[in-house]
Amino acid sequence: MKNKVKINRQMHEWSQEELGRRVGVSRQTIYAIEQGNYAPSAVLALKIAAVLETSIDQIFELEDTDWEN
Amino acid sequence: MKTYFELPVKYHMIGWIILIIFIPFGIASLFYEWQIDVLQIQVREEASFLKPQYENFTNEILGIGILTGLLMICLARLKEEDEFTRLLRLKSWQRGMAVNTILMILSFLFFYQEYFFYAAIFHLFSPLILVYAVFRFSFLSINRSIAHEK
Repeated sequence: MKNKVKINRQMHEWSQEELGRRVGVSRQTIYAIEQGNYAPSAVLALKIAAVLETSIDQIFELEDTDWEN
Repeated sequence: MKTYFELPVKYHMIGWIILIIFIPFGIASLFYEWQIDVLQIQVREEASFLKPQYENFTNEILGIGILTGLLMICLARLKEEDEFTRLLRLKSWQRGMAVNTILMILSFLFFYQEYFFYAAIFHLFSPLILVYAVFRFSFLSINRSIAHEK
């Protein structure tokens, strides 16, 4: 799953720590999401979209490989 | 809905205190046959082959203490526990168990007699040690990557 968390976060001029604090997760979690190493739960993805004042589909996008088992 | 089991953060410290107290006595008991005399209890009317009349329960208490301490450390929450760290923890159990199984296979193949006995004792504790080590290593790797990104 591709995501634009980093771009949206930088538009708000927030650090990873700040975004993490706003959605209630650690900085490590935000880092892992931005690097594409971790696909967040639906709840966390919705929270991230909400604090970044955008919709979830503007931030997270499925890739072809996500359809493979 | 909470579907996972974890202990409060303070159990991390409690677990370490238990380990610091119990491990030196455990080593003394294993290698130097140190025992607490009060724990010498009669368990049978008469002794027979491989069944002594008296048993000393020092080993059992030390073993339970060390396992309890390790379990507390492995299950205690981080200060910033979230869904990612939970996944990391779950993966650590999976990887730790896989590494432990490989070590057990190697022990079967390469250790005999008293060395196998010591390996068997080690493998009572190694699963939890490995799970914790893998978890801390994973966490350290992420922190290093973050520092590197800066």
